[in-house]
Amino acid sequence: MLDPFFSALAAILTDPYLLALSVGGVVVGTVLGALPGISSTMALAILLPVSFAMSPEAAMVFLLAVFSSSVFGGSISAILLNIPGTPGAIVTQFDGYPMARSGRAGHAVSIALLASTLGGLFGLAVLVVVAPVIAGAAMSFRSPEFAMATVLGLTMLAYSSPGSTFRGVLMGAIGLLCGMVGFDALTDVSRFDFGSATLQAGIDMVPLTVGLFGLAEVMRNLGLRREDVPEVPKMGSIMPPWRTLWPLWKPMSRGSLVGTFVGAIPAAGSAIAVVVSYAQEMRLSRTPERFGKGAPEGIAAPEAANHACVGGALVPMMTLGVPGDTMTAVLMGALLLHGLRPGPMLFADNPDFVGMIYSGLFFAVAATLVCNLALIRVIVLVMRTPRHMLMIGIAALCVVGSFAIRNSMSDVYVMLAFAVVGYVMGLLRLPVAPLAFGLILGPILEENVRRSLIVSGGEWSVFVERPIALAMLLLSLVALLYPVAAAGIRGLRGRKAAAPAPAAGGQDPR
Amino acid sequence: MPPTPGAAEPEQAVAVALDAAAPEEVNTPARDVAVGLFILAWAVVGWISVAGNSRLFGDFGRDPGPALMPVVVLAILSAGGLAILATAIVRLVRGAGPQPAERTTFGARLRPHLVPATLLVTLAVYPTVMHAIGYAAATAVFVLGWILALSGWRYLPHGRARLLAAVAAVGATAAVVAILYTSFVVVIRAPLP
Repeated sequence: MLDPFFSALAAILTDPYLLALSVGGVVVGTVLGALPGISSTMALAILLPVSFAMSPEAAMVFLLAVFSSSVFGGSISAILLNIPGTPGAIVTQFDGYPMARSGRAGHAVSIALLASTLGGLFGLAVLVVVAPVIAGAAMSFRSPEFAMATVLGLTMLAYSSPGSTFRGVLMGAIGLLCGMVGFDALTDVSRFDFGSATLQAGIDMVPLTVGLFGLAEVMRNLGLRREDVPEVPKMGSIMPPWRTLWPLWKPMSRGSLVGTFVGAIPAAGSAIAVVVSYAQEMRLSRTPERFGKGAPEGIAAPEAANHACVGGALVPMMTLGVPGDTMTAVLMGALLLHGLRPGPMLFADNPDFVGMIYSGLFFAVAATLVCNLALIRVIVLVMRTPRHMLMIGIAALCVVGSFAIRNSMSDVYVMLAFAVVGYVMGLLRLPVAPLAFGLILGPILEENVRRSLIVSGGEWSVFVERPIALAMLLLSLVALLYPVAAAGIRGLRGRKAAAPAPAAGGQDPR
Repeated sequence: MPPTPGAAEPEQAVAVALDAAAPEEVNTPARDVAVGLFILAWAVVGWISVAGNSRLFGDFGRDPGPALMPVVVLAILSAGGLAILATAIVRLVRGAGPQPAERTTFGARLRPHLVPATLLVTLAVYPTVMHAIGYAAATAVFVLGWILALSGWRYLPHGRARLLAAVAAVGATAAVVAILYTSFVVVIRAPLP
């Protein structure tokens, strides 16, 4: 189990190119994550074109470094500016910012960094142990199971996106539609091409992702009123004393556990994991009144949970092809782009590549620790860069990146078109992640649905006769119907509670 | 936003703090009309293409054929879009839902989108310019122009403040040109014009 991990780790450590890519990815990822307005997803999306020309191994090492470090980077801005750089950092600011305000910014960042490292390593350890087991169990998957796993993934991502699940599913449907543009893989019939040769080649995932998550965000940022760069507090000393650090091992361990398992549930994601772990620490604390005023365990536990989610979220993505959140969806897209389909067969056919993912993540977590201890003061300096300069730089990166994929103008126009789509969707408060995911998974879904129907002779019952496919279908239905049912129950309760209200209102002296 | 101290349960305290940090927005009926139309627009374009493509409905033996998924997905989109639109229209007619706090003119509502739209236009021209005058020059012009425009350089008083802003803009431009060049030409050897 660990042989491919160690050999891949040795490959990274002895290859200057991979080493530089990973360290470079960590520095870029931390800085992007630390900048308010740039999420981990945006960081991954705008760097996808850079990874396009790399070998699959190098691309994964680079993207995992960006992903893992941007998760921690988000906490730097949460602590220093009271603005979470990524959704998983939303709780870190509760205690991180008060600590920074009281002159202990360096300590808060270091506690977050150490907790993040521990959480990241724990998540990775669980990934290494659990993933092969799940992949082994999923070896019996055939087309109906794969089709339903894709449906489950789409529904879960719609469920976890902001706004209603129903709208998320509709956005996923738009993504599926975009994924069908061009030649059909099984029959060579061209669809939705409107006579254009560019559309016959299909809509590529990279320009779509760059447009939706990259340029659309830039446009939204530039549409906001200009804000001055917030004052970054002084860092003070970086390393907290041992007596502060030592008692934190318990919150860190509890946070790691919560993060890994919540992260592994598709649709739960880091934002839920950090809230659960923060609430748990408050409950277990003898002095809960310190929380929200700069309690170190209020940083340590959620931060560990936040980074542990990375390993957790990779479990369903790698073993079943069901990404737990937007970031893993983009990572999965990158894998597919390089011709590698996540799922049980990846473990059987490409154990070395799986080892490379493990060791890439391990190295990313370790490099995040080392680079941040060494460079945190420089990273804080970069955070003072005015936002408009960064956004224009990213806009240029989006165009140059889309162009560089194939040296083609049509990729640039696809990127610009989806930037407009993403911008409009932002105005309409529609989630963009399911759209991208629909495009990424559309071809897999269609291929497996049709293959199942070919084998079953056109019988749709094939999806409910096989127990695992049925279970996944039912889970999708639960995710889809739960919000409707919950709203209905709330409405009924509200009506019951409101029933005696007129009498009470009548007695109101006002 | 720290959790409210003294709340009965930690979960409640965190929920209160999170709500205060990001208050949930209720969809207005007007926006929902736009959402319904947005979804239906995709469906209409899709149906037009499917209707005009007779090869989709050929005989493919046991394979259900290339029309199956488009028809299913378009049916879901159409039904969903219509449902959202119909509900929104009913809410609009009944006058339900939160009303905009103040009436704004069409021009005032368009103004926040002016800068993003202009950016989009310049970005569409940027690769063509890149072909004509080369990557470095085109990127420098694009980045410097935008940074100066967005920094409010024109409104700064003559003298030191302007000079400093100009130096910062030139520095940032040089950094962007160099970083992109290193990323694409040096690291991944992508040929840029």
